[in-house]
Amino acid sequence: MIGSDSMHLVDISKADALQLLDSGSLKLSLGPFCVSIKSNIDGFKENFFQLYKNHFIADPETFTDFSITVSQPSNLRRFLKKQVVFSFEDLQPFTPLPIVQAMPMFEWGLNWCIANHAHQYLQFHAAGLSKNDVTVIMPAPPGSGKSTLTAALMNNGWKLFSDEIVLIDLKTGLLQPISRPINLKNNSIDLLSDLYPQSTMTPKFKDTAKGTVALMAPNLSSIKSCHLPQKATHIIYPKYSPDVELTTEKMERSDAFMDLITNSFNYHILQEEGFEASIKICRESECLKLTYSKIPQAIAFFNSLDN
Amino acid sequence: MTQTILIDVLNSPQITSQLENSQWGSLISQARAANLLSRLYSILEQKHLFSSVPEHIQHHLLSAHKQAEKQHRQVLWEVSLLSRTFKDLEIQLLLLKGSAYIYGELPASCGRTLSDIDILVPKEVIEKVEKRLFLDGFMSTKIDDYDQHYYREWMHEIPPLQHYTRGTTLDVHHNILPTLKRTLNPEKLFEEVENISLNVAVLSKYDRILHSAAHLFMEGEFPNGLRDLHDLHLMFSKLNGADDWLKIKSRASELNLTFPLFYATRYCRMIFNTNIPEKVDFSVFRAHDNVLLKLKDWLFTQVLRPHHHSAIETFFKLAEVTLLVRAHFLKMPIKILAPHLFKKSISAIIESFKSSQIHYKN
Repeated sequence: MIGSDSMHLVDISKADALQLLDSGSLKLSLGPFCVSIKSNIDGFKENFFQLYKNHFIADPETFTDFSITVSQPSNLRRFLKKQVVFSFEDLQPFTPLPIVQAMPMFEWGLNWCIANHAHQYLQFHAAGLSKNDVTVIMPAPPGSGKSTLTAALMNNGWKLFSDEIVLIDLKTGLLQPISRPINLKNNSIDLLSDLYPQSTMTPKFKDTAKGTVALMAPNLSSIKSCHLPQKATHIIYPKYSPDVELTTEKMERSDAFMDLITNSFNYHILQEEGFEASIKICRESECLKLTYSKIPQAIAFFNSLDN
Repeated sequence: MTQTILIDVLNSPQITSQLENSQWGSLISQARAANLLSRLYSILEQKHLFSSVPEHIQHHLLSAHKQAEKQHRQVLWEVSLLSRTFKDLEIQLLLLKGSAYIYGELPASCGRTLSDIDILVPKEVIEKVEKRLFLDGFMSTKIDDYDQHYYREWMHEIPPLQHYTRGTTLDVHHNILPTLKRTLNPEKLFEEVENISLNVAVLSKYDRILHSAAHLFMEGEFPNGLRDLHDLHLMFSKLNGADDWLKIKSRASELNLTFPLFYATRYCRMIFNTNIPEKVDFSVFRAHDNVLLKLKDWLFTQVLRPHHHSAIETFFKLAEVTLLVRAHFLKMPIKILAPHLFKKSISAIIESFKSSQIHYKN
């Protein structure tokens, strides 16, 4: 567990941090996981430091949950075009990508590690956010504006639990924060950097499998509350629709349940315990559909939940 | 504790009570690399040691266990679907290896994971079976003409079939050994099968061991070698005294599989201290060429370990390549082997230049 006196990555000098990345001796606490990261790719190291500088350095003695290397592959193609490969231990679960996409590849790869190896949690493809006594799960398909909304809320006093993977601890039923960077796509990148110039955002990564992406670092207050799991109070399905006034619609719990489990990464593995946990969340939360077009209206709506 | 901490723990699970975090790290990594993480869970649970494992490590073991359980349920479901198809065809469904262990609840099912379902059918009906499986949604995955030719001409199975929605991979064999060079009459296997349920069967308890041993010591790839050897260890441990051992030896000589049985007992003893009666010896083998046997001991002990960087030694790659070449020589005469290897290396070079998009590799 992280004590209040733990060191952030930024507390050691940047040069030292990059050196640790290079030698493979950098270990960070990312929510409940201890992750070691090794890379000798300069561009990746820069991006990584930018996104993770506020995260906590783990005690070197801590058990490493995921040991990750981001490096150049050793195939013949490297002489034609530089590529990057993601390794979890000695395993390379993905085919290589162009080297400029190293940072998004790390994010996707770490998601894959968690989704496949952390079945102590029921996992949803959803965003999780919290403010005071309100904790929201936002499951949504791509294109619904989930990440845009998540980034906007984080910049308006909400704590980011996660943008991509919501973790429900099966023992306690609580939402476990993990505070990883937010994955922004296409048009939302410029929109958000205009709205929140003070936020930390990487340059754009073009032509990825998800189009153009950029990553926004979680803010310090989100990272600092990573050791405080919360009970979900709302499940909200957002839908962006141009030029509409904000509307909400109460959802039947059974519909919310069905939607929730189709967004789960490991419901099929967890079986009964996954079913029980999903039912419990739906029973105990308010389930809503939200249609919005203007971000300030959406933020005002979310803030109104906390009364 | 040795470099191969996984083997130490499989042999003496009680030592987990003294492990430090860094040792747990190596243990979990090695077990995951060897596809033995869920078996490690099952063994610790059986010995009532799991509850004293540190919590953050329990998560990894339990996650692997949940995944294995899911596979076991999937196997039962797939087999129930296949058995209907085979009932229509009036052919008995004969399961091999992982799916047989799991469906038959056999000793080696303990925490066993698998990547495909293997079945054995008589060669004369294989075409009929393939056509019918196609109607059920199972399609050939190897689209390359050369691969198709390679399988159909020289192998003991047709190219792997994959279900178009469920993604299940099905390996349909007509023999348990490649058809060239070595001959084994598969009818002999069918004569001795054990029925598990109506129309679903597995090989007899001796043939299961002999098949697993033949597979391990004649195929040239060992990423799951340690797991397969541990399956053999579990199966050997269930044999009952001298009588069973006499029977399996005579069955091995009947099927012309004495040498894989010899290796299986030798390396099970060497690596897992398997309790094999002293009387079971193969003095013919030991006497005939001591130097060659020493070399094989070195080769096999290099690869029969977790394929993880913390467990392998300097000349691991050399041993791996040597055994791959050996396996090809065991399978094919040189006049077929040479053009095959040439063709394969050319396509490997071409592949490495081709562009690639992100997708999950099998």
